[in-house]
Amino acid sequence: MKPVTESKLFVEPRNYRARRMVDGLRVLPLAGIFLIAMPLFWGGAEDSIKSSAVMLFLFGVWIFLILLNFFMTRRIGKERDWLDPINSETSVD
Amino acid sequence: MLNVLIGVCLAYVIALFAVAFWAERASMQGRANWLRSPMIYTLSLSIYCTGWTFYGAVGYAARSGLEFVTIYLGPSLVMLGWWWILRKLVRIGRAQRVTSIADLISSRFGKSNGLGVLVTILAIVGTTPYIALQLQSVTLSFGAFANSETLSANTAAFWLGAGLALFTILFGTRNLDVNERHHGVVMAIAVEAVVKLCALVAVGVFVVWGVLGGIGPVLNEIDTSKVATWDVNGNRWIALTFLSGAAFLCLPRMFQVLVVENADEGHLHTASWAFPAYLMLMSLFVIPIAVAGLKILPSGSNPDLFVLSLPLSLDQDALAMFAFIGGFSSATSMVIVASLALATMVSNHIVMPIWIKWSEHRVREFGDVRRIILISRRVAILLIILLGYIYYWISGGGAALAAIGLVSFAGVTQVLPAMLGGIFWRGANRIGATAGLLAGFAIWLYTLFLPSLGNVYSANFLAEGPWGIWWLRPQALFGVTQLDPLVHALFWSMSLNALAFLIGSLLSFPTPIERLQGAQIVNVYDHSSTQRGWSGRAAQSEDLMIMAQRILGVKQARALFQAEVQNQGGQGYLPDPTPEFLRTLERELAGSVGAATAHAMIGQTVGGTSVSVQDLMAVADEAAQIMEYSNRLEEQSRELTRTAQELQSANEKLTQISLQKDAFLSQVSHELRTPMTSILSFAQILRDGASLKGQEQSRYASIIHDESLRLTRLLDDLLDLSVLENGQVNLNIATGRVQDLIDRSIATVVVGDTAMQMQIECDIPDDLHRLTTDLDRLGQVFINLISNAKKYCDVASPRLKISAYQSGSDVIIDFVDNGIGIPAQDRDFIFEKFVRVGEQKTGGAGLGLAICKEIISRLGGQISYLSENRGAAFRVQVPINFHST
Repeated sequence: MKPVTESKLFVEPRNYRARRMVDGLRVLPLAGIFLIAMPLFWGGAEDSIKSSAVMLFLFGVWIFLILLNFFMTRRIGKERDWLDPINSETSVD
Repeated sequence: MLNVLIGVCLAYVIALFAVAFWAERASMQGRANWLRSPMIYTLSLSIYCTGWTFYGAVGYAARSGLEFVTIYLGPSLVMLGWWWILRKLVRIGRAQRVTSIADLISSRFGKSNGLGVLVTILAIVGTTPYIALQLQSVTLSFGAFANSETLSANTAAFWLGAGLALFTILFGTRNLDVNERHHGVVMAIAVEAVVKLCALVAVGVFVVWGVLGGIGPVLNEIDTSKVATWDVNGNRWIALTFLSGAAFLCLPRMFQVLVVENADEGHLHTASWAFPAYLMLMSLFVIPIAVAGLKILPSGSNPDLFVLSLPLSLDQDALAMFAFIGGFSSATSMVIVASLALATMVSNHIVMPIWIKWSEHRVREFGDVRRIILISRRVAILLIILLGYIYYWISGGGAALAAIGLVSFAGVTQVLPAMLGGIFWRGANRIGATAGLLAGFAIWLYTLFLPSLGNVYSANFLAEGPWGIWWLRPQALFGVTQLDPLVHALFWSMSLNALAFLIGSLLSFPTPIERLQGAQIVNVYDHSSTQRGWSGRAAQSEDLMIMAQRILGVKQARALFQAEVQNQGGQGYLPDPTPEFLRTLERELAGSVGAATAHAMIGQTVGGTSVSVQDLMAVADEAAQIMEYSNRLEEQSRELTRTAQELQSANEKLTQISLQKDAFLSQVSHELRTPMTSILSFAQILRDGASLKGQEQSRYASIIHDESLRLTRLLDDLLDLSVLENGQVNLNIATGRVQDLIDRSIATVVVGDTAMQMQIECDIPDDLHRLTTDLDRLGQVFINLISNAKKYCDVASPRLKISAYQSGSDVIIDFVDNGIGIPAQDRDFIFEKFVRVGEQKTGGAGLGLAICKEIISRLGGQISYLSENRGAAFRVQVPINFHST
């Protein structure tokens, strides 16, 4: 199963890019949690925040996360077979 | 109106049946590639959006503003973070052939059936109210149309349930698939997903642009409505987001579509952005619809039905009808998949173990198991939907039911710690998982489910706690009073669940299977690959052919495949690997290599799934059985060989004895004839010869006498032997010394033979025990042996050595001479009757040793020839004290 290659210090650039995309994907939900919780900490002097503003913000965040995910997943899609440890050296990064 | 509604409903349902049927057929005929597309997968995930969310989200928004959106944000976050959990779940699902969430938990923790049952029960308790909720949402929406007309809500709910059960049974249990995939069902729910999204968006677009007049006015309307301000409870906001995300992973129906029905890991890539987008679209128009409903509709109208009542009140009957169909779609697809997933769990974890135990000692026919599984699934589907209906009927479909959605979520979420712990932590074990599930389930029941039923607890009980124990108050456990009841229950159930799971796992020791399964599942990426080993269908068939040829033999495999090709009505020599054909092939292979091995082999070739530890153990078990069987066969064959050898040697011996008997008979007749002839001739001479002298007469008469004596002796011997053999001999038991007996025997032999040259030496200890036996008969044996030595030992200075000693309770007497001995090939026969060794110069009937053997065996001893000596050597062994047997 393992491709017969001599052990390399670095992976190829495009593979490298895919791996960074995976890193990004991992952070994405964390960023999402942070952004979704953010309106809870909003507060103005008049002490009332408009629902419409929060709604626009949340949907904006939502769309933003979806788009980010879309682009990162597409980058990974082409390389996905090489991201499993069974297919490549885990130590190489 | 009502009739139109029912007609539309029926038409829609028939269309769904058609879609499902068509998809099933396409997949059977191998044209299902596009059925397994990422978009279909994404759309099938939409069963998350049930009738409750379709109608209820607007109601929720009308009551508490933006909080409803958490129900959609949670799953969106889970999908966006697919690399963390979903990717692993899907991979495990494929590698371990997981059939349900209960199956995942049970196989991770060493195929523990107890855990499987526990998760199944939890899932049923958590899902039943939810099914009731769907029935309610549809009947309510019926009601919105049929204000004035009479239609019993219960009747509507009943017929709806019956129809759903029929659909699920038809397409969910048509046949058994190893991977539990149902193309028809998935296709139908994908269509429903499109319908419900379009319906909600259509109503939304109508409201925003048709009623409120665009985006700007909508925002203004929101700011002036009663939900204008953002004042959500922070705890609830976070807790609900978490809860919906967790439920998304743990709900049996979600697990079914996310993991079990997943045909390709790559579909997750698309779904990871497409499904959040779907959810986003589903919730985009919720607030505008709610605000418009609050503004336009008379106060007091049910906000849960705004989606329907808004178009109705504005005379948009077609749009209302569309919205109704959307809600109907949401409800039906949820009930179908949920009951299917639960039925799989019930049949695999409850019915099958019981049936297998019950039928342990019965003969099982092939196909029995399949039949039982199908029947149990069908019955389970009926029962689960019936249970939902009964719940709906008893609860009366009131407001209490509306709150149950989140309660239900919290219930199934109790599986989360065991599931996540199981896939990420190798130290997790069965004891911990069971403890966590039980703790979480109990706390959920106590703090959330029972209170949600309305009046299970008295007001006093809620305020004071059971028996006045303040820290056990159901909605303020351990004095935590500042949390919303739902958040409170979620907080305590999840944290104590996780704690029990952790402690149980840390303190107990897993079984070997658990540890193996743990390693397999936690390190699933090390053992599996996304690459599909078998791409084309032809390649699959070819590989199956090669495998079958190896096991069944070329001829039989060809015949089997050819028959299948004809059966399928195809051309060429390779049939399509349909499920039926795979089953046939598996059965054929099982006949040769055992069921488990055959299953693993086919699975490996077709599914690309890895072989699980259970499979390996089953294979090893079969191999052990086969080996034991072959060992037994080998043992039997060795025994047969031995018997055959013994028979052969016995046969040889018999042949030789028979030859010797023939030889002896001629010898006997010769022996008898020789004296007879001389007796006859001398008697004739005496009769006719009157002129004979007295001296001559006397000489002839003495010859006749001697010959007669010889005959008599011969006849005596034969008689003696016959008597001994027939056991009619009377033994004359007496006591005497061996030395005396030997002396007497020697004297008997020597007497009257002055020319004897043989020296006889005796080596008999003085203190040798006195023998108690038939001394006369024993003496007869000794005489025989001594005279044999005298007769046959023909060396220059013959010598016989007689030695005696005691051995245990026997006395052993050896007679060894210095002659040439008896040739090896004759030694086996010397004790037989009528045997004489070699061509002998000395006459004898060959009965002596046979008589000796009979006598000694009568005396309870044995006589044998000692082959290691140079000369002839006989050993007589007799008991010191004769015991008659």
